Amino acid sequence: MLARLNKPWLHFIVLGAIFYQLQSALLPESKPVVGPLSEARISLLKEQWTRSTGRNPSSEQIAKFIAVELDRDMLVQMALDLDYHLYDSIVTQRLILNMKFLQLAEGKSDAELFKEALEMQLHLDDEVVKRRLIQMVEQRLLASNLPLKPDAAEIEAVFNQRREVLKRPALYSIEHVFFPTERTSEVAVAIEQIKDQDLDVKAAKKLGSPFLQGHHFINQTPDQLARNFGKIFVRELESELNSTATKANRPRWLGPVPSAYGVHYVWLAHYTPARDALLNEVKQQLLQDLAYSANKLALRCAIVAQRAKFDWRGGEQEAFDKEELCK
Amino acid sequence: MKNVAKKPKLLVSMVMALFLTACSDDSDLASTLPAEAHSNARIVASTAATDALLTERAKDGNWGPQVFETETKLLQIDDEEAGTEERNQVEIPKERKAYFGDLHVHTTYSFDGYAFGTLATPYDAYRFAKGEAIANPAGFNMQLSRPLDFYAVTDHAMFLGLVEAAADTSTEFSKNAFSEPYHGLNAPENMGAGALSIINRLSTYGSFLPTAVAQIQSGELDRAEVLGVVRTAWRDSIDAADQFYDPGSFTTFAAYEYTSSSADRGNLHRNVIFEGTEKLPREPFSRLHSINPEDLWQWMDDLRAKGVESLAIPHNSNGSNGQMFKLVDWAGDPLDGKYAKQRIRNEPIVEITQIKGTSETHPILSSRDEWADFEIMPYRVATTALSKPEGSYVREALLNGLALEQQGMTNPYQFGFIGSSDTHSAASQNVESNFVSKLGLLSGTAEQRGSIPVAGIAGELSYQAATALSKIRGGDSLRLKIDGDVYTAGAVPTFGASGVAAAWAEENTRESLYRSFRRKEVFATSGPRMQIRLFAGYGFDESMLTDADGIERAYATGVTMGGNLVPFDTAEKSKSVNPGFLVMASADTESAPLQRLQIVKGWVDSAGTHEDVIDVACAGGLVPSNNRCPDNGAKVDISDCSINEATGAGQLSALWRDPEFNEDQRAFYYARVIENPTCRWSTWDAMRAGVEPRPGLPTTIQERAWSSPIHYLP
Repeated sequence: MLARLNKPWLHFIVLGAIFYQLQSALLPESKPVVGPLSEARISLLKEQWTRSTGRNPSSEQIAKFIAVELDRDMLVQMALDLDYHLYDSIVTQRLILNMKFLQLAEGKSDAELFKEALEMQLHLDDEVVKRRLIQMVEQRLLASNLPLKPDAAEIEAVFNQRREVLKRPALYSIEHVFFPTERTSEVAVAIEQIKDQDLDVKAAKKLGSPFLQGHHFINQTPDQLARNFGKIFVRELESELNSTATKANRPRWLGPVPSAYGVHYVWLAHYTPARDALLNEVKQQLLQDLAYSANKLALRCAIVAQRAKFDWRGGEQEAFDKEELCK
Repeated sequence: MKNVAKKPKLLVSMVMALFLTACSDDSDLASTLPAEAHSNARIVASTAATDALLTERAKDGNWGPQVFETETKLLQIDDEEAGTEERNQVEIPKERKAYFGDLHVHTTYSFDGYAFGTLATPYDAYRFAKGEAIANPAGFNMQLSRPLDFYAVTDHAMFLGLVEAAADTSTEFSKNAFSEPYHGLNAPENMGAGALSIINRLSTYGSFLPTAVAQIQSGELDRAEVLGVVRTAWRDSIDAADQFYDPGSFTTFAAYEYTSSSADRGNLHRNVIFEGTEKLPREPFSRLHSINPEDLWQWMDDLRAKGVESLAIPHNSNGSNGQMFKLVDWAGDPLDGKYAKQRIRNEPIVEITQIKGTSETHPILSSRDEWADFEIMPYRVATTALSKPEGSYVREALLNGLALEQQGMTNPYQFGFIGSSDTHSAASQNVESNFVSKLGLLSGTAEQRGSIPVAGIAGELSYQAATALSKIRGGDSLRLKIDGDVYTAGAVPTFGASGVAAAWAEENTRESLYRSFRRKEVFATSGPRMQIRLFAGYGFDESMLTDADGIERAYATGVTMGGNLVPFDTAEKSKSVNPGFLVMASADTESAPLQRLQIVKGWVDSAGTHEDVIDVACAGGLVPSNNRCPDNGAKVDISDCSINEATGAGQLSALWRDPEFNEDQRAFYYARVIENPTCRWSTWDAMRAGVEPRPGLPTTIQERAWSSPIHYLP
């Protein structure tokens, strides 16, 4: 038995297997490298930032856009590994055109030009090709990481979260008696008359002047009222409303209320206070927003997940670690 | 810009594009105000040279080729989608209110908008109109201080969405050879405002159309594929309009721009607005179907017979070189009744003011109107060749319309007025203090807009380069020097922060607003949200100015703007024969006070047509003398753009009777209200930059609103 084990070829196999396992454990296969970005590229990124925002980037912002750029490099590498650059018509056309521009096209077929362009590695330094490759990898990543449609709980959660933003403004339905600047001295007497004689709106309006913008405004938000009367009017009207003894929603006279045009005695026919939106009113909008955000996040997380397969150099780890949402 | 150097016809395109936007000169032009351009010898000579070139080009007859067959097939809209807007049962007040909007807005789907860097979609455009901030291509945000009530995205129908589809490398269309030069045009790394980027954009703008047309004609570009892109973009534009339509609160319209021109580059553009979206054509009719606007009207008539209601709104007649309101038809024959009826049926309103100038009238045409020199853009659209005033301005067209009617023909020019912006960045631009013009990346800075000098060595270098280039190609330069300072030349500095469309309607819905367009109860403003009313009637009296029911009575017993006043019914002897004009205006509370309220009258008699401008109400209650208000003392401090707000009126009104009224004389009357002076946008730019306002541009402006006319028809 021992004699059988004492064979050189067997020792070779056993030792080979041991060394292989040891090597795998101690010296793992090197991952493809991403980064570091050259100083020139970082300068270009800074310049683009400054140009589009009008200010210099902070160190945190620089770290962030270096991380984004490294992600792009990673996606390009993935695309190249998948040979996407060999079978995409946009990449093909772009490279052929580049060859023509370099005046290397004479007497050659498109296929030859494409082959030569690849040999010259033109595809590695062309922004359009790069963007196209990234786009294709992103589509692939998203397709294999499609987010679930938002469920009722998620919709409700975001609805509660955005309650303030979604709030419906107050609505006023008013009619008014208008006194232009030159008739403001008549206001007190007119109001007295309206009160004493308990005039209805139609009769009361006759005491005033025509108001070009109109006399009858239905379900107007404060902003809408301001467009016809000016901001002072709205401010004063709100103040009048809050100072009246009763807050009950019953029709009543308010004023006199000054505006940019004169003075108004206002018949508040109906008032709906500002309120939270109902879920049904905003559900469609929320669904769209959620779907958009979910797709964006799914893609982002899919990209983040790919990072483990690469050897990162030059990016600040903190910038990557901040993507908590994917954890 | 990665692909700029790879354009095969770059130099040719550059020259063409530069030609489109350039303007020559130096000192002799420095003091030439836009309205005086027609008397400047150098501009006149340059225009003559351009005309000679255009005449030569027109001889080959290929300046407006037909690329697509006209069709009136309707869009297949799913039953579920059609008319799904939920209409809340809201109470509708009887009285009409003024609603403000913009019926001329371009987005990323317009070939030129995209070339200017615009990425905003029709959806973004509507978000902007409702008050949200959206991004200008130059990197900053744009936001309205007050939302608008209605908005229509009117992207160019010709090649609608095509550049965007070509540039977006995820689309099928981007995979053909034609699209290659446009790949990534608006990608972040290409959004610079440097010289190379700008030249590439101008080149794209200049070369896109001829290249696309040539390739479709040669078969290199698949016609059906192009139409597929156009129809998809059109459908998306409609979807955006439907998605944002909020009856009672915010109204949108399905709309587009028909962008035709004459052989001499006379502007013949129209915006086509559809009443609803339940029935619509599956593709818009563009200049690639026909450059003849009469064919557009026929297409609209054919659609109307199928239940698709629409109207066309001509714009920038000021840049039409006399073509927009000429007195012959497309074939050159005198106008006839059929032409007139078809035109006015389809074009009841015109856009009287917008960024590329105001088209009310020109000082050459209205020498007795001291306010005629208002935001004059003297060039043909997208050129620096002068536009002939005759046949290009609205007031003259109204007068010619009277004369045609006098001859027994239908009046083809009996239109109402609106304003709109013609923004190409999806965002209305009509506030002087906040104006970034319409050209996206090409007008994002004050230097690009030509309001302040291009400073330092960059200015000098760009001046030398532009001058050298203009010598090589023999045209005008992109830069000019004034008092040693280098400025952007061309038409852009003459652009205005204007305008707004306004409609008197019962409610803010498509139906109600469209009805107001049809009956021409609409008005235009140069930006501020002034309101203006005009009525005419025989039973009118002074009490209508003071009685609360004055407007109600005017509606009941008279006609309003856009209407026709007929001769007095002699059976009613108790009423005055001379009609009264009730005219009222109110200031925008966020702009300057009003200075004067005017009536503009035009009439025709045996000696021809005539016009007059009468001040009928003045700020401070001053009594008009010699038909003019005295100076009300309004002042602007152009060092900080402050005004003396205490001077001026919040409201002006008058009951005016025409002392020259002749019951046998055909006439029109429209109202114009004028604000106190304020800083023009170019002065705001200069003030912010700490430099003097550019010589040759007005430093102040008197914003205004125009009512639609009332016609008296004896």
